[in-house]
Amino acid sequence: MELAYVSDFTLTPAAALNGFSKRFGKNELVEQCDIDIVSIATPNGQHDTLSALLKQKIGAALPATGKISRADDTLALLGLQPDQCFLVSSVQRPDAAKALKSLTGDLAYLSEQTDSWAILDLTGPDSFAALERICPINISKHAFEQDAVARTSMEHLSVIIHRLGDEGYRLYSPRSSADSFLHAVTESLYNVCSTTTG
Amino acid sequence: MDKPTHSAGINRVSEGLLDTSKPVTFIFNDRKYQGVQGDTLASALLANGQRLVGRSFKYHRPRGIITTGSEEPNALVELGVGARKEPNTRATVIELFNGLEAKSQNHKGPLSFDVMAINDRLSAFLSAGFYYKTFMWPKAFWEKLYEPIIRAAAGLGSLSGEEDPDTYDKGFLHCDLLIIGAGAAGLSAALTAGRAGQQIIIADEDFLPGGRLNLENDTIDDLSSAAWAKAAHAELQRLPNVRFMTRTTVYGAYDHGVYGAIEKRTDHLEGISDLPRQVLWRIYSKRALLAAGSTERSIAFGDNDRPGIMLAGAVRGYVNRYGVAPGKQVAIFTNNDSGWRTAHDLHQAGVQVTAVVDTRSTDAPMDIPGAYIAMDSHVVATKGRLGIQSITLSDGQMIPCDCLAVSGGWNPNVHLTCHQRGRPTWQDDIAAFVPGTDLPVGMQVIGSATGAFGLAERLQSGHAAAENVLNDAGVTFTANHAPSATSTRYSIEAFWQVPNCTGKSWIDLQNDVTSKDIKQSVQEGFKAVEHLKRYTTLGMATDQGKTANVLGLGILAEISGQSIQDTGTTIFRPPYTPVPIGAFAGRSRGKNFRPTRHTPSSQWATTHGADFVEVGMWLRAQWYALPGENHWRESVDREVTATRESVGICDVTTLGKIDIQGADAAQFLDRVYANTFSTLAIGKVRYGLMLREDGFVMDDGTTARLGDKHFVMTTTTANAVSVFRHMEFCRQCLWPDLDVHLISATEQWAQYAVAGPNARKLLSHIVDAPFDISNEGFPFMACAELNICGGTPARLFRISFSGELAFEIAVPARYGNSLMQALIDAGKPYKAVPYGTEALGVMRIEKGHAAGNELNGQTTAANLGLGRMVSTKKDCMGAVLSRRPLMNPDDPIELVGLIPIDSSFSLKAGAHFLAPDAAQILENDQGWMTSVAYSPSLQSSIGLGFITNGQQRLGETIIAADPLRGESIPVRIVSPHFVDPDGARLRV
Repeated sequence: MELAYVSDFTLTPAAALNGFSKRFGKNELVEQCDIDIVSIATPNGQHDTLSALLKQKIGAALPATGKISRADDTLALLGLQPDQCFLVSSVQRPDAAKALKSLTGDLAYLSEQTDSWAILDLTGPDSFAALERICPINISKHAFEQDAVARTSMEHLSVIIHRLGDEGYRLYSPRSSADSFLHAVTESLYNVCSTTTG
Repeated sequence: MDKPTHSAGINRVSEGLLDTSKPVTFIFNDRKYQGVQGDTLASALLANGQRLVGRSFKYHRPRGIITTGSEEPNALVELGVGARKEPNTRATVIELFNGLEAKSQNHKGPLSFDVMAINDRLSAFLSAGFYYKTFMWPKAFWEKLYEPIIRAAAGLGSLSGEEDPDTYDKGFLHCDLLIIGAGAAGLSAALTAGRAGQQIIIADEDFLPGGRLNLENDTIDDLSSAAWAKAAHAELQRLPNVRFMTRTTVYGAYDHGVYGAIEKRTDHLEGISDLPRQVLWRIYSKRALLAAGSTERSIAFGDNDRPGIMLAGAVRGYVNRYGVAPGKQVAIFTNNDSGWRTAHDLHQAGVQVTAVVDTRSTDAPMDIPGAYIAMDSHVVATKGRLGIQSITLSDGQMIPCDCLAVSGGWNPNVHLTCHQRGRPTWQDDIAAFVPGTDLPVGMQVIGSATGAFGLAERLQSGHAAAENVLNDAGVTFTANHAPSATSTRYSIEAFWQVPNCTGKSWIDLQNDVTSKDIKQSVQEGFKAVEHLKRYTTLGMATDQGKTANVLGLGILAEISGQSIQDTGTTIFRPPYTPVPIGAFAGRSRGKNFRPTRHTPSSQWATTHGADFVEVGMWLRAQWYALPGENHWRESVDREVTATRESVGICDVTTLGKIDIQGADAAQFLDRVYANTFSTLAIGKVRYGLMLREDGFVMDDGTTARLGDKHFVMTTTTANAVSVFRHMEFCRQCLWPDLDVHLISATEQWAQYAVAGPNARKLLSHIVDAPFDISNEGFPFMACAELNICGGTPARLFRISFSGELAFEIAVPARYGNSLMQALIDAGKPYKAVPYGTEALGVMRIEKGHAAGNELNGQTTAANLGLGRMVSTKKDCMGAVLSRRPLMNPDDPIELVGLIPIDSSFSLKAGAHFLAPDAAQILENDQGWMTSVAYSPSLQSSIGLGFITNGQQRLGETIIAADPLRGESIPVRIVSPHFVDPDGARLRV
């Protein structure tokens, strides 16, 4: 029997929300399709060593839970739970987890998460009011600062949220339910951006 | 005093706080009326001389408007038309807008001639407990006769019966300080805390903030009380740290400083809006100040329910805020100073006060020119069929009037203090309940809700409470004085009912409860206040007895000869005022009731004829119908046959995938799985069985070892979340010393089963060189990370659920749709078919694999024929309890296959197994059918089931009895492995 094969096919990637982009009044909702996500879990007792290594290799140390540690505009670590953070990077690599593994070796447990999440950037003056309709945690300016990140749920869906400047948020929600999540956000925008008010 | 001419109503005596330049046209009972902006429906009806607005619940008595606010028991109308009709809406809180349509309710025929008013004539037979006593016999009449008649006659307004076309929304708010009520105390507190920079939410149910400041003629800081409220509102709106929510009722106090609030967004707007009508808010507060105000109550006397008989505070409120005199000749009956205040304000407004009747034997507090003053006197009767015309005093004097203003005292609105079982306490000097000491965490009560009715005291209490909050929070602020006002006098002598009246003395106008009903309740043994409520319906329905409860309790205390404190009060529960069910549902209706999960190739499936089924939140293709296939069985049989004969492709993305890494990952798996995984070689997959702590089977699946410290577990679709949660609990709480880390990878990978004799040939067109997928290079239960289709990273598992030569191939989700098409294209030479969950189910039953129907939480590994998988060489979750004697009887139920003796019969899941000729009774039950399918391979219906000592009974004929569907089918017990029992096909 033949033991090696040459594939006749090439696969085409598809975005979770087909690259959704729409304006709602002065606000904008845009799917982010070019962000790599790698989950980094810290081996027991290796936090400081790994943190120093990451600082040296990628320019960002391990963040505290609920905080973001930024290397530059293209790379950040989101502290999501004790001993686990997400590396998010807009410098796309074909296999982000393997690329990072070459830097960390056995000092970190890595798991590819790029395809697990649909990512939406919501920006504009009504972004806070829109998210008030679905987000149970306090994301107002004075309570949720620029380097804050949180895991929460919106409309029964798991969501990671962090701030994008004064009037914006980045939202990560599971890919399989991305349509429902998009509906939740657009419905909120519609409800607060339309001109009829009470 | 010259009476000014004002538009929109014959009873308008001034502009009040209205914008009379903006007339508003509305319709009541099909007749056009005019009001002005700022009116409520109630004020506009009174302005137009409409005293009669509805009929009472039980006796269909003519009823009018009693109050100015949400406590209104009487003036309930059907608001809106068609599907938007909303029954039992209080006219006193409906903000008038152009085109508003309302109808009176609960009458047959015109409002002024209700044929159901015959009930009033029969009232002697319809007293409290009437239903319970009368309709007990004959028993058979209840469902067919009594209940339909009672249901037809009962109730107030009627529902449209149509789906609510309006939309609703929900939301979440956070604040340092929540102030509930924007009256004197609430505004005073908000100004103090707001100026200090605290994040504040102040909510008020009215559309015009100010509470009673708008209804009274008081002075604050040299401004009229209404003008001061307006200025305070304006200042607070300018503060960026203050959220001022009008038309918002805080209806419930919940745990940990959480409050529920309902905000009316479009109810008051002309025309139809497609925006949410109301928004239900969950407010998270660090502290809360309850400034809910107080509610006036009545006095019980003969025929005290006629239209035109109102509460005294409401009468002057209509004059002061709405410029409406509810009558041209107003009499007053009071036991406290509030009645005198009404007399004063009415006289000032030029309204004739015909009498002031005070139950107290003191000197009259003031002179009311032109009014007959009667101290130590009572109103004993009233006259007027559709509206009051006169009152009769205890001295026999009859005084004409078209409005009687009654005040029996004021009750602090303690409701929200009771929502966590706090009990109010009785305060004799004001004859009212005040908040108890057991308040919800973080709550403080201010203003007249504390029983402090003086204006200066209310302003001061709000100011002081806000300063306390600031001090507690460590906020630096500039100390200031409370707004200044003169203290208003309030003195009362409790007086509940006028004795020996001939007419009915009404207590609860909404539920037609009289003092006689209370007496009867006590006589029949329903003395406890909660029993009284249920027996008489006192305090039920939309107003929850806001004007009636304390009056009823006072009379109950009098009758039973005990103090009111000892009599107690019913507990108040949320909501404070009615909240539409639609608001609780919010957006969660129709397809948005819950999220929907799609697999990455759902688009491909949709365009290729997939018929989807909901599996939890997932939509899974259950079959792919081809043109000409008219029944699902045709599609499923074809898919099974094509897969077994050549190759089929099934989307198995929905299976849970958990990435497990760590130095102790293998040890962790040994503990959560019944069988051993630490011996699993890298590059291999093993079937695993997971037990609950009680020893029953929890879930099953396969786990692949990708590296020394790296495993990937699959779970059933249904249990993906619960297994992950269980494992996180084990990791974090039971064995925190283990170095093991979990993350869900379900979303990350799109996964497809490629099954059938030609599966390998198909995949040979997909995988990249030099990967070897030969049987030798990649044997049964192998796994690998590889590249496919020219460099796409993938994972390949040689596992089979169908019983055929099979693989599962996984790619990052973004490539799922494309891979599905590639697999189909690569399979064209082999006539590859996509198959759905139905064909998957048929093949797993043919193969005898357990699934959800068998893993129902009540079966053990031994029941499933997997008892030997529970390793005795190691400990694991559930191992000890799985060895309990009762889990291991001598005659266990065991999984078997079942096939009908006559292959023309279809087996039914849920059928129970009996010995031939045994009666269909529980004692003869031997087991049950768990799963059935039509097997194209066997050309027969087949089933799986559990039966006592099943493995020893292969070949035996039993009865599959299905009493629900009236079927009893002879079946033969066989091996559960109908197809390829030796597993030879898996290993080629």
